[in-house]
Amino acid sequence: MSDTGGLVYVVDDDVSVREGVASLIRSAGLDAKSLASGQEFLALQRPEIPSCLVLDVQLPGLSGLDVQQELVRSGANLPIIFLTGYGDIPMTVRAIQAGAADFLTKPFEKEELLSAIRRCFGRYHKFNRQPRDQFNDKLTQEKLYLEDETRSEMNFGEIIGNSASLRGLLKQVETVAPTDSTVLIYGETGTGKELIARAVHRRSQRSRRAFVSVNCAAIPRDLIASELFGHEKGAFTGATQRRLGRFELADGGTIFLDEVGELLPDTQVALLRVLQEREFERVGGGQPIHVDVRVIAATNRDLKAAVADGTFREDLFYRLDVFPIEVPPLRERKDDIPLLVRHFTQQFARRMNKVIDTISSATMDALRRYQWPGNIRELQNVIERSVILCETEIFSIDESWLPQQQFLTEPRNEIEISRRLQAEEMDMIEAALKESGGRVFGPSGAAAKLGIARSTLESKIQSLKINKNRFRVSRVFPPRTEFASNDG
Amino acid sequence: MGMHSVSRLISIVDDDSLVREGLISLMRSAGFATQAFASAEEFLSLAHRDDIACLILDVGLPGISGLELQSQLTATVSNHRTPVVFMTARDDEVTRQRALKGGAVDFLRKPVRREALLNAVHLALQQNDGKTRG
Repeated sequence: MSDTGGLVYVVDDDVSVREGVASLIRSAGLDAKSLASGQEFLALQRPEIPSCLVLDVQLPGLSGLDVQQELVRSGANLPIIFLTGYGDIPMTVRAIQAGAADFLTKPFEKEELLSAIRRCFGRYHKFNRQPRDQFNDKLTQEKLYLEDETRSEMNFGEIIGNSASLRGLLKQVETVAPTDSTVLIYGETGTGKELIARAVHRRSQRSRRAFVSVNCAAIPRDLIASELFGHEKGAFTGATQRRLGRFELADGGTIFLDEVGELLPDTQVALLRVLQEREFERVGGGQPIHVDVRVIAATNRDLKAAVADGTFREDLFYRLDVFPIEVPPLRERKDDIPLLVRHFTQQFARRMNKVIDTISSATMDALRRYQWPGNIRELQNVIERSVILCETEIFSIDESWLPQQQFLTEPRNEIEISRRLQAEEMDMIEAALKESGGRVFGPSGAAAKLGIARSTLESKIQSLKINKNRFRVSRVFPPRTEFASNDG
Repeated sequence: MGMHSVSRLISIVDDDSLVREGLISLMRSAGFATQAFASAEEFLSLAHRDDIACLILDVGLPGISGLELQSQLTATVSNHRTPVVFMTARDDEVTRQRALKGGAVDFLRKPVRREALLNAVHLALQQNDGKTRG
C-alpha cells in the first residue's frame, strides 16, 4: 500500500462498469476499491491517504448527489468524478455546482477517466517537493490541512481565539469528546455550535466515521421524522422509494441535531427511544433498526423553560442534557475579536485575490465596541462585505452598516475620547507611511504628506508604537530568497 | 479431475472496452477463463466456439446485433447450443421476448447487478452441462 500513489473509490451499481473502472485504475498503478451503492461507500472506514471518488450519478437508494452532499456535510475533502448517462444533465449541473471535480458521460474513453483522476491527485501533489520517502506523510498532512481549510470555509473558521471563556469551553470539549456521552450545546445563533459539535466528533473514537448534521428547524415539521428515521416505499404520498434516514447514515458516527428544541412532540418520543434503546423504525415500517450513534444536540432556546411550559418533554431533556456545554456569545469574549477579524480578513482577501495587510485601528475599535447580536456569523458577514468593497491594502469598514444602538454605550469620558482620537491618528499615520513606503522625511515622506513636522511625526510614531519598518517596500530590503528559507 | 482441471470458458461480446474489462475481471475472480470481443464480427472470426460454456452478449452491438449473433449461432452450430446471457441498456420488452424465445438464459437490464449476473452465468453452465451430458 505505502508505495502506491493513492486510492480511488469506484461506486457504480453496474458490476461491469465498476469492475471495469477499477481494473483500469489498477492497471495505471493506483489502488481501487469498488462498491455497488452509496450506502456501502459511506459506511466504509476510509484511511487518511490521498483518495478520490468515481461516482455514478444514477444510483438506487442514495443517489450520487446524496453521497456528495453527505461528504460535504461531514467535511470530507474527497474530490469526486461523476459518471453520468445522457439523460442526467440537470443532475450533472447540480453536481458541478456542489463542487464536483469532474464529470464524464458514459461511454467515455479510458484516457479521459485516467486524466481526470490524475487531476484530482494533482491537487495533493501541487506543493510537494519532498523526496519520495517523506511523500506519504506529507500527503496525509496536506490532506488534513486541506480538510481543515474546507471545514473552516464552510463554518466560522477553525475555532479561533485566546480568551479565558473560549479556553474553558475547549477544555470541556477535550474532556467530553472521548467519552461517547450525549452532549447538549447551548448558545445563541451564530456562536458556532456546529463547530463545537464537529470538534467533539473529531476528537472522539468516531472521528473517522460520519458526522451527520441535521437542522431540526430547517426541515418542514411533517418531514422531520422521515428525515431522521427514513421511510419505507409507499409510507406516504411521494414516498416512491425506500429512503435511509440520518440516523442510519450516521451509524458508527455522530449525529448533530441542531435546534433540537423545535422538534414536534411525537418526534420527541421517537428520539427519546433512540437515546434509550438505540433503535427506531422507519416511517411506514415495522422492523426495529439498531444503530450505534453518538448524539450531540444544540439549541438556542432555554430548554428548561420549554420543559416548564410543556413544549419539550422532560424525560428527553434529561437524556440530552447529560453533558451541557455553553458557547459564550461574542460580546462575552471580546478579547477574541482582533484575532477573528484578522483571520476572516485574510481568509476573504485570499479568496478574492486581494492584498490586505493592515487593519485600520478605528475599524478594530468599532468592531470591539459593537455588541454582535448575530455573533461570529454576523462578524464574518460584515467582514466579507467590507473586503469585497475594500480597495486599499488597509482594511476598514463602513460603521453605518452596524446598527448604532448595538454599540456599547461607554460613558464618553476623556479617556474614551482620547482613545478614539488616538485610533484615528494612528490610521492616518499608517496610511501615510504605507504610501511613502515607510519613509518619514523628504518630499515624498509621510511627514510631508500629513503636513506636520518630521520630529512631531517621529514622536507620535514612537508614542503610538507604530512599527514603520512594516511599510518598507521590499525593493529596499529584499526578503531572503525562497531557496534559502526552504533549507532552514 | 476432468472437468475441474480446466477452467470453463466464458466469452464476452461488448463494444464498450471498459465493460469488457469489468466483465473479464469479474469472471476471472469467479474462477473462469475468459475471451472477449468488441463486436459480433470479431467473435465470429476469432472465437473458439466449441469450447464456450457461456456467452455474455450485449444486445446493442454495432454491425451484427446481439440478437442476430444469437440466431446465427443457433443456426450454424446444431449439436452445441451455447447458452447466452444478454445484457442491455434499453428497457425493451419486444427484444427481451425475442431473446428469451431464441433460448437466452437471461436478459439483464443495465445496471447489471453482480449477483444477477453470476446467477445467470451459473444457470447457463448448468444448462451447458445438461446439454453435453444428454
